[in-house]
Amino acid sequence: MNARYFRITAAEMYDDHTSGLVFSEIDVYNAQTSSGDMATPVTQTVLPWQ
Amino acid sequence: MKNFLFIPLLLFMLAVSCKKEETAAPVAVDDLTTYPGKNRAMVTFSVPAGAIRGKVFYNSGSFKEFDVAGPVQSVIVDDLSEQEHILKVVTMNAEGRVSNPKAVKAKAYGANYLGGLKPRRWKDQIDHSPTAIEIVFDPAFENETDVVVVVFTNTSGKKDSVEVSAAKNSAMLNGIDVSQPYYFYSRYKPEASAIDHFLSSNVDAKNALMFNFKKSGWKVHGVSDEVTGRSAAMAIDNNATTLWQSSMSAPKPAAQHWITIDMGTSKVIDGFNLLNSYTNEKSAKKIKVDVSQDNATWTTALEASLNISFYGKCYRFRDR
Repeated sequence: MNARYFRITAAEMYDDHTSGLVFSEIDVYNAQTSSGDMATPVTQTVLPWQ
Repeated sequence: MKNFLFIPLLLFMLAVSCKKEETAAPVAVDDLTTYPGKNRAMVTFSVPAGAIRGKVFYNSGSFKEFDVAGPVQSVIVDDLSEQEHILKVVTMNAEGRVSNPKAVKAKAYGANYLGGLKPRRWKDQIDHSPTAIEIVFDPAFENETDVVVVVFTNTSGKKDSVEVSAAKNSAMLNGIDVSQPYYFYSRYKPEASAIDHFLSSNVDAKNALMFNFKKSGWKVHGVSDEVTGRSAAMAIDNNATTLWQSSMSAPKPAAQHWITIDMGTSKVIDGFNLLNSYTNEKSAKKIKVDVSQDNATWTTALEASLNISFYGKCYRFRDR
């Protein structure tokens, strides 16, 4: 999927008053340049054909 | 009696005269040198005195004929397989007398060599203005001795190109129309003396930009709320020790918690890596991710549950 913008919304909370969104890093995942699930941020560029 | 002596004498003189007009065969060519090419090779040599034409023999009996064009002759032999060949050169004078052959080894390169060539690795694109961009490359490969050629369309609608030497790692494209495709390839020479260039495959540089996931060009386009010292920008600052935190205290925020990121240019994305900081119920239970090309039309790409204990996880669109 191609996109320039993305928006992350809290769709359901554990508690409306004390829950929110907490992210220390948000990164894009690309299947061609990554392998497996990654729990750490990916900040480098790896082109699929390189 | 006089005539009886004169006739043999005349015949003898004629014979001597004819023998004097015969010329020796040209000597073998000198300074024979070869230059490799793409399924061909070029030979150059000094032409011996008296030679007016010649032949270059190759492949067990095949030959290429040539007429002498000057004191130094160049001949290109085509249809050579990709290997080392023995080329033999002979020349002939006007009487057809043939010189001794002179042989030399010549190498031809082909599909095998070409198949091993790679385009320079694309690293980044820096936008200097709407019509001036800089493409940054990794350092040249060890065997990359020629140039990278970047081809683009300029603002006048004409094709243009920039060459980047092996010693340089970036190309400035001034006057580029970025709405048109632009691409690059690496140009190789198997040997410095080669007569042909070999081109790697093309890399669509415009497409490459869509795989650039570095966050230096990202911006927070909007955010529902943030607490002091934990701003939205901290979610994309490449620092896992800082974080964005939406308000978590009563009263409940009027709007949902959300964050919108502008990645600067369109990217090919299959999901997100989300690194959380809390392992308790302060996280949201479910999230929704919408994507857009223009910040006007939005598509929901992902709806996912966040486990209480999750610290970091990759959420792929196919997991929807």
